[in-house]
Amino acid sequence: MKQRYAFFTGSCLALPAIEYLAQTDQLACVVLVDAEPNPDLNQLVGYLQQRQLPLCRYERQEPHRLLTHLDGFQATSGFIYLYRHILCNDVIDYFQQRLYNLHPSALPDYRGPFPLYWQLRNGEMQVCLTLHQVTDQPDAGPIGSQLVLPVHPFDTLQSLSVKVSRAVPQLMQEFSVKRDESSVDWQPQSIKSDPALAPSIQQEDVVIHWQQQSSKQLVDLIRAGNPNLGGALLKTPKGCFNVLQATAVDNAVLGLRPGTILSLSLESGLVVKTLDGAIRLDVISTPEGIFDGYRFAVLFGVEPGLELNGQESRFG
Amino acid sequence: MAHRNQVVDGNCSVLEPDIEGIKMENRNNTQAPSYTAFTESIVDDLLKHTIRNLLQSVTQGALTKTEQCQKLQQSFTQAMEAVLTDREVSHPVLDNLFTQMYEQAVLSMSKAGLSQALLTRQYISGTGLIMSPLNCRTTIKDIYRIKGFARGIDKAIRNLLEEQSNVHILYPACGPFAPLLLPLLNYYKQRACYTSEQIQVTLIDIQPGAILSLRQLIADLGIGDFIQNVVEADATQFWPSGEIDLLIIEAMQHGFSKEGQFSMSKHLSQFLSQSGLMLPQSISVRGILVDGETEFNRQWKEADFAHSQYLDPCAQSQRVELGELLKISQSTLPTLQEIRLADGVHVIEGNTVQIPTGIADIASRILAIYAHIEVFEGETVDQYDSGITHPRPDMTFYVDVKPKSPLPQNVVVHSGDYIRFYYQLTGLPGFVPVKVDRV
Repeated sequence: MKQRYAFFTGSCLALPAIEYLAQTDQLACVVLVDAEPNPDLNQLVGYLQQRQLPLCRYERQEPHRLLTHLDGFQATSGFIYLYRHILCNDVIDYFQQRLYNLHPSALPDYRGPFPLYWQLRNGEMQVCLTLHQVTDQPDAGPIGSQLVLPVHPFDTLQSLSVKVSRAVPQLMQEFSVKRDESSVDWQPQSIKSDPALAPSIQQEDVVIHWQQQSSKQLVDLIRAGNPNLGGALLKTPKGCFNVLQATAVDNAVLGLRPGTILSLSLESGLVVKTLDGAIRLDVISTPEGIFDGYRFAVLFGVEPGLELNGQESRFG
Repeated sequence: MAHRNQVVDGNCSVLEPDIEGIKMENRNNTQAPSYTAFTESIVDDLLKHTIRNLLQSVTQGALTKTEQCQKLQQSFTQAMEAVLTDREVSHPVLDNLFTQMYEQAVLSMSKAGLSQALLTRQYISGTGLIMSPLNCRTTIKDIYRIKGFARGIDKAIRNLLEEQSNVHILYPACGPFAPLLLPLLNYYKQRACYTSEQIQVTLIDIQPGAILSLRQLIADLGIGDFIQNVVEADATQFWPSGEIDLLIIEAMQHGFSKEGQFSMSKHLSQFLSQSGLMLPQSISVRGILVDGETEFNRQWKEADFAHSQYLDPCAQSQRVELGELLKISQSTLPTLQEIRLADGVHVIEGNTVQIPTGIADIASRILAIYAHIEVFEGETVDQYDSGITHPRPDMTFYVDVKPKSPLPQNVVVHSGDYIRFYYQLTGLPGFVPVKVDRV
C-alpha cells in the first residue's frame, strides 16, 4: 500500500523533506504548528502556498479538527520534524504507530527541543539523525532507522541545521525502502542512567564564564549560538556584547586569570586568556555594529591587561 | 631588521634613508619651503582621527619643515627649562608647556609613517604588559612624572660627569618618545650644556612602531649625535655591548603593577659599571587601608588637580598605613630572590605586615597600593603626582568580611592577621597577599 504522509513542522528547514515527499507523490499534507507567527513560519507558509501544497494547522484547543483534515487528505502515516510541540494522544493514536519523529541525535541522548545546539556546545564530532516511533513520551519511542553525519569544526547551529535538514530525505527514503520490504527492525531505546539532555535554552546558558570554561568549550558555546542565539554573551566592564565566532589559540604566558585580554593587534586580533590557553574573539556583535575583535577593542577601549570578567564592586 | 639596530647619526639629512615615507629637508636647503609637510606624510587613518585637531592646526599654520622642527625643539626646551629651574612654575604654565611638547611630539610621530598595525599592537609578554605606541604617546604630558625624572636624571648626569669624562645611558622600554630623556637631551643641545662626546645613549623598545617614531623624533630634534643606538629588543633579554653608567627604567603602572619594571631592573642592573647608577634610585611600594569615598573622591573635591601637595590631612589621618610592601633599589635587587611556584610562576617575597586590630570600620575599607619613587638625590615622584604613583585599589582583598559572590582571586583576612605580600613575575606583575602565621 502506498503511504501518504502528513508532515508536521514549523520551519523552512523542513523544505527538503517536504519536497522529497511531494516529488515522490507521498505527501498528504503539511501540518503547521499552533504557534505565534514568526519569520521562519511565515516564510514556510508563503513557500507552501506558492507551491500549492496541501496545508493545515494543528490547533491545540481543537485537535479533532486536524483529524478531519487528515482524513480528507487521506494521510496514512506521519513524519514530525522541527515541530518542537507535543502532540495530543488523539493525534498520535490516529496514525496507529505510523507516526515517526525525526530527531537529530543518537537517542536517548539529547532528548529535548534543542538537540543540535547542545551537541555543538558539547563538542560532538558527529550527530545521528534518528527516526523513531512517536509515543506519548517525547523522543522515547522505538528506533527504526538512523543516519550519522559528521560535524565540521566550523559548523554553527544554522549550518549544522541545514546540513541535517538536507540529510532528512535520505533517511526517509532508506526507511521507506525497509518499510516496503517489511524489514524495519524497531529497537527500543537503550536505558542510560545519565543521558545528555537538550532542554530549552535559558539566557544564563549563553553567558561566557571565563573561570569555568576551557578554550574548546568557549569556542563551542559561541558557535552553537551562532547566529540564532547571538552566539554567546560576553559580560565586560564596558557592557554586554555578543560573540559570534572565536578560535582557540596557543598561549604560554603564565599566572594570568582567565578572561584577561592578552593581546590586541591588527594581524592577530583580540586574544583572551582562558582556563587552559587562549581564544581569539573573531566576530563580535554590538548595538553599534558587527566588528572583528580588533576593531571592537579599538572602538570600545578594550585593551590587553583588562579582565573581561569585570571587577565587581566589593560591597555592591 | 638589521637597520633598526644601526647607529643613528645626529644630522637630520643623514637619517633620511632610514625613515619610511618621509623626505626630511636638509637644514641648509635653499629650495622653496613646503607648506604641506604633514599632509605629504602617510598618516594612518586611526592616528589621523586621534590627532585630527593637531593636524588641522598644523596645516593651517603653514610652516616649513625646518620651522616645524624648530617649533618641536622649542617646545621641548621650554618644557625642560620649566622643570629644571628651581623657581616655582605654576601648574597652568607647566600644563600649557607640556601640552605643546606633547602635540609637537605627536606631530613628529605622524611623520614617521607608522602603519595602523604598528601603532596599535599591544600585548602581554612573559614579563609584563607591552603598551602600544599609540597608547604610550600620552606619557610625555605626564607633567610631574617627567619633572621628577628629568630633574633626577639631570643631577645624576652631572654627578657622573664630575667623576668621568663621558656617560653611557641605557633607557629600555622607552616608548615612542623616550619622554624621560629626549626632552632633556634636546635641552642640553639647545643650551649647549653637554656635548655628544660626554653623553651617549642607547634606547631600547620592543615595539617596532616605537623604534620608527623614536628615529623620527631624534631626527626632528636634531639630537642624533647623542644617540649611540636605537634597538628593537626585549629589554629583559638585551645584552649591552659595554658597561652602563646610567640605567633609566620606568616601566610600571599604578600599584607597581602590570609592566616589567622589576624584571628589567633585575636583568639590566648587572651591566652597570662600578660607579653606575640605576634610576629611580629606589621605589618604595606601600600598602594602605582606606575608605574609598574619602581617599579617591572627597579628598580631591576642592583640589585643582591630583598631586601630593594637595593631599588632604583629614583624609590622610583616616588612612590605616600597613607599611612598606617591597623596596626596589640597586642595593635591594640582588637580595630579592625569586621563588618558583609549582605552576611555573615566579614570585618575589615582599614584606609581611599585620592588619591592625580595633579599627571600627575595617570591614568597609579597601586595600590600596602605591609607589613612592625616589628618582635621585631628593627628586621624587610621590603618590598622586603621576598615573604611576596613584594608589591602586585592590578590590579582591577583604578584611573581616566575606565577599557576597566569592571568586577564586578573593583574599579574606582578619584584623590581627599577618599578611605577606608576594610580587608575582607574570605577564601582569603585581602583588599577591597571602596570610601567614607570623612575621
